Amino acid sequence: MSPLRATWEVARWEFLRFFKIREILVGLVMAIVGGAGAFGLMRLADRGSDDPVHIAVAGVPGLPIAVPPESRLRIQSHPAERMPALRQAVERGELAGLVTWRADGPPALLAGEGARWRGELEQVLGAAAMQARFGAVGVRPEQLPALLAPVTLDVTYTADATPPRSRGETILTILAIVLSLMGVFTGVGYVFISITGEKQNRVAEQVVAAIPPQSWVDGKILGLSAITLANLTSMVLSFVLLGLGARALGVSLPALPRAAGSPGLIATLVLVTALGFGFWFAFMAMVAAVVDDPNTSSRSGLLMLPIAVTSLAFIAFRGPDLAITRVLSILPPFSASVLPVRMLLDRVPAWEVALAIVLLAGAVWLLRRAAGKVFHLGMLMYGKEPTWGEVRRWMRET
Amino acid sequence: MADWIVSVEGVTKRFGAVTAVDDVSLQVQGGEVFALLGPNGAGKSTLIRMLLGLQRPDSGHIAYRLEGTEGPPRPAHVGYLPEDRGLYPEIKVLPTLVYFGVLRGMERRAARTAAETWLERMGLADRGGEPLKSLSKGNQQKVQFISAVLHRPRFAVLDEPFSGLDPLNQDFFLGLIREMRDGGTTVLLSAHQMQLVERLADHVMVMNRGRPVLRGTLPEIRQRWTRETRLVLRVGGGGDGAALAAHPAVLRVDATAPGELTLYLQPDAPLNPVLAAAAQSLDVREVHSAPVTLHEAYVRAVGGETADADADAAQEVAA
Repeated sequence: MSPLRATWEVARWEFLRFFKIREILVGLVMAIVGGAGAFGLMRLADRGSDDPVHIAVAGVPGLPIAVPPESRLRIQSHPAERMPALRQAVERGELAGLVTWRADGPPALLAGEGARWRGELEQVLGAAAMQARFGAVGVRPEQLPALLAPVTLDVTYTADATPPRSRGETILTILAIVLSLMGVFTGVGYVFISITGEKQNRVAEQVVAAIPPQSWVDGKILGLSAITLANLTSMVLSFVLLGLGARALGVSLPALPRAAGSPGLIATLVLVTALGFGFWFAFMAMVAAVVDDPNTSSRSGLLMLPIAVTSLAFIAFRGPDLAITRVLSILPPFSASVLPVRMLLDRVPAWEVALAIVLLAGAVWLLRRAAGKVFHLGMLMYGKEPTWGEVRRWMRET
Repeated sequence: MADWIVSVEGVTKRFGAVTAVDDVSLQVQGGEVFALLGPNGAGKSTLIRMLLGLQRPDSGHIAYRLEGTEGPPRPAHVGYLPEDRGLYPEIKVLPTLVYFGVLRGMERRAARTAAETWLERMGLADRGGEPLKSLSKGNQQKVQFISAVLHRPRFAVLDEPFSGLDPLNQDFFLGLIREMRDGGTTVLLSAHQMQLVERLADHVMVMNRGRPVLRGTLPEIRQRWTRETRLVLRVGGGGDGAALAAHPAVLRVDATAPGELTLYLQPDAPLNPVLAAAAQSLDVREVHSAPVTLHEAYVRAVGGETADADADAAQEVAA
């Protein structure tokens, strides 16, 4: 059997070993059901808030209160003498609130409950007070819109400038970082479990006697990268389904940024992410091969290293145009998590993307070779763990 | 001498201060069952690992001639049953067997067909869809055995093939290994069940502390280690054979079981006088000779009895 076919067979085996279509489908259904349930609960909670809210305003006769037609607020002015009766009405729950206009301070509100409508009430009363003040100096109501119109700028950016981040871009980038972290975390977990399990079950001798160790480690990296990408794809699919469902139900969602519709950008992001998986999975293959017992080995702590490095993507999120971000987005293995964020939020020169991909691919190639060597010797070592010095020597021999 | 297919010359392997295999040479002839025996820690597993290319010798040379001419063995031509079970406990039996068949160069469909045939033969036809861990220890060993021979290797290394098997299944495995040999597969096996090895092996090598201490064919070993003629008498009436002990041809008489006496005679001593004496003093019901067993030869060789002489004898036999 050629090394290439052996690699393919191991990749296929590893993929099928961990790929559980039923679990993925259950996950999708759970996401949809959960989303629909959350939406239903929100609607249920909002239903009570449709009831009219009766507010009394006392002490300012003639205040030009204008409540928008879609508002739940029902505001009525009363003379100051009725204040004791109105106060009692609030205490009995017949009125939601009582606003008392005072000459020596801001208006006071007496509310029976949480007064979640307070902001809306402040807007309505503020507009009425402003209209009253303008009326006092002779401004007619129809003149108010022109007087109060804000100044808005129609912005055009130069070709090199990066426009400010939209809400959609922010959400998409955070999702990308979360998916990347989840991918690395679950993927290195797969690699660690797979290899230490095979070592403990003494499968290693059987396999290494049949195929080259390099094919074995390559197949594992490919198969487990594929399963990780498949899992991430199912998560993206569930997000998309949830978004479509929410939109169909009339929920207002932020517009998708232009990057989401660029096949070239998406392909580059997937490539960089997949190379990142290759790097970290090769690293973890090397670590797992020199772990004798995963329950007691201190080397299990190295599982956190890929997560820590991948988390540097948040630096790029905070400052995509910082010098440190530019450097990290080119150097492997940081580039695997930093470059995608930078590409989503900033304009990245093509040469930087190309250089980052070449360097990352080279690093993956070297690491997989080193992993193959360490894997060969480490997998057949039982009862004790090789020292880091021995591991370094094996790697030098690569 | 028949053509060798595996040749080991002066192989040594050290782990730190420990010499696991010390200047070992051997040749495995095509179509034979070669038994590699020895106590725990004798160096058998290290030697087997080197034969399989899992470890490199520090010195010496291992050559293969599995395809007529000398060259590195192709995985498709080698089968390996490890001492410790080496399969996936959580995964179903049939896919596991197909996977290992494919890794050994089989086409997927052929591997599946062969695996189903083997499972049926082992009485496990209805267990292919179950995870390995749900099978008994003996059945797991059967699956492990199938994974080693599914691809019909030319050279099969079986490390403790009888481990975990009941006597009936041990006999069944004996038949399978003989069948493999008759079908052209050369077998190198390591086992602790001397009676089974005795019924199976064409060639035996016993190792102790990394070195061979006994080797040859079974007749050669028996001849080398026969220091007396042994007769076993089944007697009635409770005779203790004390009268026979005084016979000049008799070295010793042991009561080896109730109603059973074992007579140790001078080598080449004429039997008729001894049998006549036995007939006079005992109620003899049955007589048979008892040649030296492999177990006895093993115990003596490993136990260090005349160690130097054994090593010389072993080298003579090998020569």
